[in-house]
Parts: sequence; C-alpha cells; structure tokens
Amino acid sequence: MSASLTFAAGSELELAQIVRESLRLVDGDRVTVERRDGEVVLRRGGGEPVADQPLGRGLIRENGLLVFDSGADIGDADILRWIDEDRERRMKYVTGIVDEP
Amino acid sequence: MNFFDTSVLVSASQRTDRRHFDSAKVLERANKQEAACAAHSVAELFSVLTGRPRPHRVGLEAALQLVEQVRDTMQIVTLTEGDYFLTVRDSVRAGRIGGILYDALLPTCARKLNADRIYTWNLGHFRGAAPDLAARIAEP
Repeated sequence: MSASLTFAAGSELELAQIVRESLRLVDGDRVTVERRDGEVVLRRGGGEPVADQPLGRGLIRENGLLVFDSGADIGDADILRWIDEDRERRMKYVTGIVDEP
Repeated sequence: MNFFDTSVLVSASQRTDRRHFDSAKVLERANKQEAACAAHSVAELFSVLTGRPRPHRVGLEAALQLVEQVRDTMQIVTLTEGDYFLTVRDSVRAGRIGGILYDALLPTCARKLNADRIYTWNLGHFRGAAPDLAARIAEP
C-alpha cells in the first residue's frame, strides 16, 4: 500500500485515513518513523502505544483476581453491547464486508 | 459445577463495568473442580478486551494475563464435530435462525458438563437458546 501524506502546520504529519486504517491507529497511538536506505518507513508502535496505556491503574489484583482498571466509567454502554459489536464485526469480516476483523 | 458465559468473564475483567463487582464475586471462588467456561469464550474475552477503543482497550500483555487467569481457574470446555452438528440440528428443530446459533453453542458446553448453574448477564439470549436449561441460568 502507498499513500501520500501531507505536512500540516507546526511540522505535524497528517496521515490519510487509509494509512490510519491500515495500521489500525487510533487517537493517541504512537508511530515510529525510520529512515532506511534512502526511504522513510512509518510503522505502528515505538514503545508501548499510548492507546494501550490505561488512564487508570491498569492491571491490578483485587481479592485475588486480576482485573483491568481503565480509569474511565463504562456507564450504560455496557459490556453486553461490546460483545455484540465484536460478534458483528467478526461476521462482517468473515463475509467480506470489511477488510479488518 | 458453575458455567460462566463470556459476558461474566468480560465484566469481571473490567473494573469500571457496572456489573463488575457481582461478576468478580462469583469468579473469586472459581477453581477447576467447580468452574468452567467454553473455549469459544476465551477467544471472545481476548477479542473484546483488546478490540475496544481507548480508554477501555486492554494492552496485549495484560489481556494475555487475564486470559491465562481464566485457564488457570476453570475448566475450558471444547465441542466436538458431533456437538456442533447436534446444536445446529436442535436450532433447526426449534426454528431458530441466524446468529442465535452462536448463543446455543455455549449452553451446549454447559450441557456437556451437566452444569448446576450457568452464569450470564444475557438471560434472554441464553434462555431463548436453551429453554431446557432455563431454571439453571442466572445472573451472578
């Protein structure tokens, strides 16, 4: 895959949507830019991605059980909806409606 | 034997979920002699935990530890080819269509174990998919 990128004001690099989707980047993720044999290579990562660093305490042990503390309330958007969305996404992937699982 | 649905495993893993404490309470007592879940739920747990957007997305290493915790504290039930076809046949006889078949696979695992109690946060789906087990299906 190739795509043109644009330097925005303040030396920020603007990634086209197709690049973001290809690398599965979300807001706050880290990318690494490498200069290699006359080319510039962009890859996901470069240390732990910011998106994987929880706002809360992360993985903790509570009453003998490992649990993940994201630091943010899930609220009414509960885990039943998460599971449904995950199943729907998989179905779309296996039926070819989307390219990424 | 207690059988746990994916919804309970996910909820117990996410401390900020409103159902977390009830889910965690039933899982704190889990051990391989008395607790089980479907192998399919292990995959779903990992997929849901790592597939959410920030801030709820769980990092890969943390997700692995949460999945390993499930492996270490309960039996993981797998289905045979025959179990799958039996579940499909039962769904056909009951007139159930589409994705509800997936819901029926988990009760098939619970049935194999003759589970006394099936814990889920999705009572409607489970009782709909396995009316014969309705009396054993409960929220944590």
